[in-house]
Amino acid sequence: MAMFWRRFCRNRLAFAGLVILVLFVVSALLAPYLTTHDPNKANLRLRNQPPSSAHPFGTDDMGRDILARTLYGGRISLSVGLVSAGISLVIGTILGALAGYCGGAVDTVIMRLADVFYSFPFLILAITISAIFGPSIYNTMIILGVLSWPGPARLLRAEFLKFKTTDFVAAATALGARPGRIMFRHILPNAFSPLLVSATLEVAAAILSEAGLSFLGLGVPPPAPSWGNMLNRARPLHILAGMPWMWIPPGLAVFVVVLSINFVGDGLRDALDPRQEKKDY
Amino acid sequence: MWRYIVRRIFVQGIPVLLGFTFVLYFVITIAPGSPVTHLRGVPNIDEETIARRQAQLGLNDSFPVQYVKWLGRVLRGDLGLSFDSSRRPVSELILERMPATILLSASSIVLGWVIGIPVGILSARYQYSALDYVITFLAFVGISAPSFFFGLLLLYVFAARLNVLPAGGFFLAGEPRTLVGYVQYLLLPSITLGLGSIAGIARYMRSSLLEVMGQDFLRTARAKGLSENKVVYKHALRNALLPILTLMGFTIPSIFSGAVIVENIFAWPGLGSLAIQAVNERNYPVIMGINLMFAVLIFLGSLIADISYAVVDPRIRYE
Amino acid sequence: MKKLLLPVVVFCLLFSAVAAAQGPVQGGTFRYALTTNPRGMFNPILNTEVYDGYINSVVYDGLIYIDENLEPQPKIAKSWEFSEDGLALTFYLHQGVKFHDGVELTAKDVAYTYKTILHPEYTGVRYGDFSMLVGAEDYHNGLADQVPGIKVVDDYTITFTTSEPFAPLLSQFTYGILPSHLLAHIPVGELELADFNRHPIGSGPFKFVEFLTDQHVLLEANEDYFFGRPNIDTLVFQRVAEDALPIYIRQGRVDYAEISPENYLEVSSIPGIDVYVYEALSYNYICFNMRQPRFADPVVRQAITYGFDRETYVEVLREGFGIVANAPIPMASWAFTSEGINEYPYDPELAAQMLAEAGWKPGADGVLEKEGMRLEFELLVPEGTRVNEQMALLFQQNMEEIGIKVNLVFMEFSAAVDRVDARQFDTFTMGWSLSVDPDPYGIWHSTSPWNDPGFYNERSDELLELGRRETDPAKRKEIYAEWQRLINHELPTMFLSYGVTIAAVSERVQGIDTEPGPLGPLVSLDKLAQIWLLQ
Repeated sequence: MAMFWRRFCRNRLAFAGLVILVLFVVSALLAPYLTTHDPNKANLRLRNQPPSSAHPFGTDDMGRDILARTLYGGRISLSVGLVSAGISLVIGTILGALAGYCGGAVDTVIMRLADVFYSFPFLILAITISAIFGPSIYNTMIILGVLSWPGPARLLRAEFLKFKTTDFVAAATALGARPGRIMFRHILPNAFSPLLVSATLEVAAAILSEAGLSFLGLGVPPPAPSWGNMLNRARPLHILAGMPWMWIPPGLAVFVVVLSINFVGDGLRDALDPRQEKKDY
Repeated sequence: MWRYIVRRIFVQGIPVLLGFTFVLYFVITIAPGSPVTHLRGVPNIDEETIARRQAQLGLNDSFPVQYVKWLGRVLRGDLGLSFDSSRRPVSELILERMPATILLSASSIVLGWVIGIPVGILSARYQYSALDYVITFLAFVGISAPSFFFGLLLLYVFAARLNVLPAGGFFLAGEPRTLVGYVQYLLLPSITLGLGSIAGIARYMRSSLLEVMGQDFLRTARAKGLSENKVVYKHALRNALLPILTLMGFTIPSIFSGAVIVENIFAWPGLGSLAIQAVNERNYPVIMGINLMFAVLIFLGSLIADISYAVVDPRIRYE
Repeated sequence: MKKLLLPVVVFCLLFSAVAAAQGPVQGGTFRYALTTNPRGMFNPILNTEVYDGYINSVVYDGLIYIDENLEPQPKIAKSWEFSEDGLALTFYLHQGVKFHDGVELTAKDVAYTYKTILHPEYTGVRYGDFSMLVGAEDYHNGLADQVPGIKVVDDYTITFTTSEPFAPLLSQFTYGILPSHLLAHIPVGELELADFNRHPIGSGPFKFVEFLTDQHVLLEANEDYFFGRPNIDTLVFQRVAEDALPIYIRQGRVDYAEISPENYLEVSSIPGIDVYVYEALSYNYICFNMRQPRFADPVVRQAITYGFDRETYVEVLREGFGIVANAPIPMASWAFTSEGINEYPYDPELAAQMLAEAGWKPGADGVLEKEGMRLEFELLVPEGTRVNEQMALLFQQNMEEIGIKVNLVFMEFSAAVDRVDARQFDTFTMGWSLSVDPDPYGIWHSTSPWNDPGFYNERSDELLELGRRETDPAKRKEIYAEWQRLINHELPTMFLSYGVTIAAVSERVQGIDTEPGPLGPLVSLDKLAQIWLLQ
């Protein structure tokens, strides 16, 4: 573990990414303490105000405080990212493990199913489903989660195939361990590293997808703030040109968070896979 | 090889597509909202007219019946008629927009390769140099930027501010269709769409090349006294390019998906706006047609990637 | 530099003055920006999309057209007359009007066009406009094979008869006339699939040239147009990305565009662009579900209206582009009245007091209650329009101040309409676009399927029935005035604002209506046949 940590910290970008990420998560959690403004409190007398001491990031077209909306929006965007990645990981892990461990018909069916989901034009389908079931935070999480499980599933299946034939699994089987125990106690921990790396990338992808869906008005519905729907509101040219304070905070937030997650994922990959040490930084 | 292709198509492709269309058709029919909803806005329309339309469109059938009828038509090569007032064949609606979507997707893939590969090579060639760090950092930036918003900013800077490029759309009526014109209209949308793949390919190229360069046969080449440039460009590169081919199969789905948003921002006359419009209007045959078509394209993309992989790498054989 | 500039400016001014004084010149391409793509149903009796209607209105001519004052004016029909009893309407057609293929347009074509709408297998949506013609219903239901209400007298005379007077009838004869010689052989049920719809031939000022999906529709001047060749050579409906519309206008790539209020400042600052603001024939509203006991008392509906700051909604959220509405007939219509209309100015104290007097008391959580009813309800808001969302937020806040709790439910449009049709709503917000004739029967009569609030009032029904039977405009205006006062008091829906349209027009476009009425500077698209471009 100490070894892992040292490796990870040696990757400066990954370390910086982690620090920034922690900052974002903490500030989203502590949002009520960082700003006194209610993110949903409209004040029409204070519409479209540039940054000031009262509103450090300015206000939007309903006179709502942009700083507060960015902070609270972080809660929503980050949790959409985490939850949907979580959903896809849980589904992917279970199905991938089953496919890899059981093989045969089970493997065929699961992998065919993965192909079905993989052949979905992701965003078009997400748009279809979201439009149909109505945009909501939970629908967004579920759509993104359910549509992206084949990635982790394939990964885990490959790992399972690799470990299934190893001696220690054979030993465990000989000792009479039940398949469930073997799968989740013996093999899964070994597949942990690639899974963790893929998890970080899933989170990054989900945050971007949420922003994309909300940008089309099909993700997190107003008035709750999310980074994506804040960007959506900045679409008109006069805001883009004349009121950059409305889109810089959420735009930068998406960008920096996704960038940090990617750095962290990269760092994890290196730190967890000593063989590739020389290949990356 | 042919056996492999046939098996991929019939054992893998067809069942997958069947499952896909079944699930999708089910989802869109249980959804709230109906294809005749928008008729409500027509002045003086009577209920009977709406009821007739509903019957005419076959909407009074249950889901299984609708699906089987749809599937039957598709198997005969007929994607049905659009539910909107134009009643045009779905295949026609798709075909007339396909070229634009393919043009955009292809040019952003090309952009990804033309920029991504040399940049990746440079990065690997000068590993651990300042250039390498800059490229790596920029590649991360490219992967992490929300492309839709990036596109909007490009539009603002190059069309609104600098006034050097058109603000989206395609040729005006009567405008001569010159090569320069194509480039002008394609530039911003394909950069927006290709941003992620440029970055992805650059990074992939870098690690792939580095891996190859550590291998024995290159040491032999170096030992023979070949210059480093020759080693890299003549021997290493060929081998490093192989895995990049497989990447193509993987990028196709994301490129097509991304095209939906990019087309929406740039009023690109492709399938993206048709898709969004169809979803909003519950235009079942069009939704199904577009999704089916994309699914087929994605499947073919991965098939072609696999095959080309086998073609360039004689070590790989499919039984 | 400054010295140099002045002569240039003077020269330009002189030049444009000369050009203007010269009168119309021929030539040039006029580009009309569309942010939504036409579908390609270029058949005036079958299209449902408004943008297809644009193309139809320049390719085809109707019997009449509607002018800037919303008055019917002669087109293919050089005149018309009503019979003594007001039941028969006879049109006298111009002789020598020709379709684009050179064939003359006669009463036979008119009869074909309108009979097709009534045909049992007709697939379009216009039947409701002409179902009152004598025998229309029997024909439509396949019980008769003729329509006695449509009678061709001779090649240039045609009579339409209704069984009882129907005041809006005349204004509905604007649909383009189809060439029967090209279509009569096609079964009506298959007409919507005909290739003709993609290559329309009408008698209008412009000939159809090409339709490139999602790109443009190209039309050229009809050299032999009966009412004189249009001045412009080419007419283009150009598809433009909504986000990029102001840039297109700035780059001079379009000559005419309808823009949203949020782009007003941006666009009006562009040199060489004139911006026109005019009232549209539309309004938006928040509809109460009167089937629910809590909304049954008009006092509740009135109090809510007093309690909502609609002035701020219009002045701030709509940036002043709109007019607070208090009844469902738009200001632009001749039937509009302000006499005896309560304006319900924003007055939260009055609202609270009215509710208190009606017996509503705050419950444990501060929300008003009365006899087991609670003033906590959902407002259904269709997604996608920013100003709707803002309005809903304002409404929620305003209501909170008078003890009413509003829960906002944002929904995609189709899904929201589904809920409304199933009457599964407390309140919802939407808008109506209205036809030229003010007849509100279709939306407000208690038997109408579109009576969403579930409003039933004997007097209202009576007035609506009277209104469409009355052919004397002055008396009809009286009837609708009384009806507006009734609705204004009852408030089955809370009216928010009358719509306003903003059009940006390049200064090189001459001959438009510079003080536009509700149909805009091009008077629908009628003026396209007369405008000309400074070269």
